[in-house]
This record gives sequence, structure tokens and C-alpha cells, in this order.
Amino acid sequence: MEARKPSEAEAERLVETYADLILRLSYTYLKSTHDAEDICQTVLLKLMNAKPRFEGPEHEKAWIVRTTANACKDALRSGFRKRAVALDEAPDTAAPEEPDTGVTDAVMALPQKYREAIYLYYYEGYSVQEIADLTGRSVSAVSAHLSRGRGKLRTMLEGAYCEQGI
Amino acid sequence: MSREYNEAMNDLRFSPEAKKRMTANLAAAHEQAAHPRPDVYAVRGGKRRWRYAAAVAAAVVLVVGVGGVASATGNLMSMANVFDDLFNGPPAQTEVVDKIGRPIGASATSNGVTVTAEAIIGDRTNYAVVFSIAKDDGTAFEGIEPLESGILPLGFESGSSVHVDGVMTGGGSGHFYDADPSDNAIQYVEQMSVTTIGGSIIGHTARVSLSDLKMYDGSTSHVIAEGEWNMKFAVDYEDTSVDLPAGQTIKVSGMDATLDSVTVSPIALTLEYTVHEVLNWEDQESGRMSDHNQNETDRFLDPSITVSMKDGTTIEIDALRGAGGTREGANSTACNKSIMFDEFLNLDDVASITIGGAELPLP
Repeated sequence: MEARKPSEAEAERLVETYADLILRLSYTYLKSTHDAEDICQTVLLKLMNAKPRFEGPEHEKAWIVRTTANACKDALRSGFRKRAVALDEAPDTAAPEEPDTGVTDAVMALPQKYREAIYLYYYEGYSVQEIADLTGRSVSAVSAHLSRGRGKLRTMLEGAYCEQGI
Repeated sequence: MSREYNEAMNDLRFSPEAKKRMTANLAAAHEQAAHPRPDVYAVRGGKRRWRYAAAVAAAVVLVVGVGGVASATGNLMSMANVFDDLFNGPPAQTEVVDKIGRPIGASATSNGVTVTAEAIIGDRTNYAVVFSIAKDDGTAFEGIEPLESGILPLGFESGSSVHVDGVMTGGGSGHFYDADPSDNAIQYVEQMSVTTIGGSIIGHTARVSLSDLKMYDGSTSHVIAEGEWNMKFAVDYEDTSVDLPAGQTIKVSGMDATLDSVTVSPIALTLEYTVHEVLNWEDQESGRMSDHNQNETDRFLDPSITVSMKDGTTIEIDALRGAGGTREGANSTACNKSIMFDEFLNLDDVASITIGGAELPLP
């Protein structure tokens, strides 16, 4: 049996640990899962090639979150996306099935910075201070995004979920 | 509500198959970045595959010609001549194809249908690859009516891809056509302009994962060949790219800019430049470009480009039809453009390329 190369073990660790996080975060930014695999490859390859030193798992995860956010913003801004010829017969890109619930639809209808704050706060469990550090925004801005996002969600969902925390 | 949101997000995950594929691609890409020597795979030659190399070029014309305005001159190699050259003799211009094209010959069979990666042409960051698809029993796919353009209304299932290791971003197109109605094979061409780790895809591995061939009929589709076709091959054509001296001041849509790099090959022009104004990007709610952002991006990605041939003729290149990207800085915007030509450009025949008013002579 052929021995595994160290890069294969590291690639497997990174994919198993972070691929789904990158998928969810890229979906939060791009409102689509079509580019998630490319974003994932870009982010994890950058980590493998650059070999940044991390103080621990949380430090590594924070690097992944920041780099994914930047990759998504690059993707949104890239002219490549609009220059792709929209031939009906061109094959689609890889796309995990997107969530289809009332709450996720409502969250995805929010502006990008609100979606970002809500995902990092509620799903990833980061504090407002940590989100501010991750996104390069001020604490007051993150607080405002969370507050306004919650307000818009309440309006959209007609108060059905207000008591439950958002 | 947060519980419902968290549960929905928790269900959003890659399949085990996707993770396995991503792990393999990631490890391979890392190995190649660490040891950037070309992979060696068996390559089968033969005239048929060269014919497909020419077919790729013809297909590229078919696709990019849709939005292109470049005008041909006698110095450019028409696609008809490419075919003639390949089969009827070795004129000097055939050397261009010899350098930028390679037969491949990798194939995979599933449920009685064989998909073969026939040939690839390209440069450091642009490529087109042609596949043939044929039933092993020798019969043709029935009932496929070509569109007016000659394109066949076919597609592979969602998730199908040609991925070259090290590619960071890319834009391009894919289409089906029938190169030879007298045989039972149809062809699929995919062309891409990419940005990549290390600046070149040459020597990298292309990984092909195709599934379920579908025929479209209006907004509906049905599978005409069920199966999965996976293969890989080395991107190993010769690097014919020429780097031109950069640093000139140019104009882009009336704005001051500086050329950072210019690379030309027989099939494409690749540019990097910095516009000394900041692109006014407005937040948008999805990956679909808003009208404002599209207009703004077009303004930054539309430098005037003229190719001057040694015989005195010129070719105007429509930069907007190429792939490109922007990245805003504090006071400027970095831009990249890749434009595949309508026809092969024999660089020996080119005197200069003028970009945004700056003339760059070829060495």
C-alpha cells in the first residue's frame, strides 16, 4: 500500500475541518453555493502554501474566516463572473443544495453586512468584539448591523420568532 | 428563530464525494506549487488529435466571435487555413499550432459512452480544450438539432467541471458542436481565461469530472447519456507568451492608468494595469452584477487596444469581451484583463500593440 504524502493528510484535515464553514460563509456572502468549491480550494490552498503560524485552532479558524470573506468579496467584484458566457448549454458549476427555509430566506434578503454579522454571531458564536476584529469593522458598526438585521428580520417574519432570540 | 437558522445552516455541507475530490485537488495543487515541475502523463499523438487541436481553435472563434469586433487581415491565420495546413503541408504558420496545441488522448467510459479529451491549445493563463463524446456501439446520438449558430443544445449535469490545479479564478464558456457529421461523435469545447498561483497553468494537471449528458429543449432538459466520466491530463503545451516592457502611462475610458504587465501569445492578450481612480462599487445583494456595478466595471476594464501588423494593417480588439477583474485600493484600482483573439496571431507578423495610447513594440 502506497504511503500517504503529508500534503494529503493536511489537505484532508483542512477539508474536513473547514470546508463546510467556508461553504456556509461563502453562501452568506454570495447568496449562492455555485462558487463555494472554488472559494474553498482558493482559501485552503493559500493556507497550505503560505503556512502561516497560528497560536491555536481558534487563531487558524479566524484566519480561515477572514480569508474566505476576502475571497468572496473578490468573487463578487470580479469581472470574471459577468464575463462568463451564459450559454444555456454550458454546464453548471458544482453546487451543494442551498437552504430553503423561511428564516434563511429572510436572512439572505438582508444586506451583506447584516448577513455577515448574523452568521458569525449566531452560527459561529463569535462575540461582537471578535466579529469586529475579524471583519475590520468597529464594534459599534457590528452592533448596529446585528441590531438592524434583527429589526429587519422581525419585520419580515412578522414577529413570529422575536421571543426566540433574534 | 436562531435555532431554525442554525439548523438550516448546519444542513448546508459538502457531500462526502465533494470533500474527497476537494482533498485530492488540494493535495495535488499543493504538491505542484511546492514542486513546480510538469507532471508527465502518457500522451498519444496522431493526426486525428491534431485535427482536434485545430477544431479547438475553430470553436474558440465560434464562441468569442459572438461579441468580438476584431477584423481579420491577410497576416492572420484563418481557421480554414489551419485545417489546410494541418492536412496538406507544413507551412511556417503551422509552427504556431505545433507550439500552442497538444493532443491529449485521455478518455473515460461509462455506460457505453466514451468521453475523450482530444486536444488543448493555450498559453499561461488562457486555454481551450476539446472533448469528443461517442457511443461505443458506433451509433450516433439521435434527435439533437443544432441551433442556428451550429451549437448543439447540450450540457453536462450540474457539478461537471474541468479544473486546472492552481487556478484561483476564471471565466469562460463551453459549448457542443458536431465537427464531423459523418461520424458518430460530437464535440464539447471549454475555453477559459484564469488567474493562477505562480502565474501559469503550464505543467499543471487538469482534472475533468463530467456527469450525465443532457439535451435542452427550451427551459426543460432530459438526460441522453447517463454516466460519470473522470480523467486527468497534463497541461503541457509550449509557453509561447511574450512579456512586453510595462510601466507606461495609459488612458482607460479617459482615466489615467499605469500598465503593470503585458503578455501576448498567439491566442490571447493578458494585461494588468492600475487605474488612478477608485472604482465606485455599490453593495449588491447577490453575485449577479447590478447595472451600476456593471457600468462601472466596464469603465475600468475597457482600454483601447490595437494590434499593428508588420504589413501596415491593424486590428482593433474589443477589450470588453474578454475576462477581467478589479480590486480597489485606497486611491486606485488594480485591473486585469484576458482577451482571447478571434484568430491565431503569428507574433512574427506583429509590429506593435497599442494599449490606451501607449505603443509597445514587439521584440
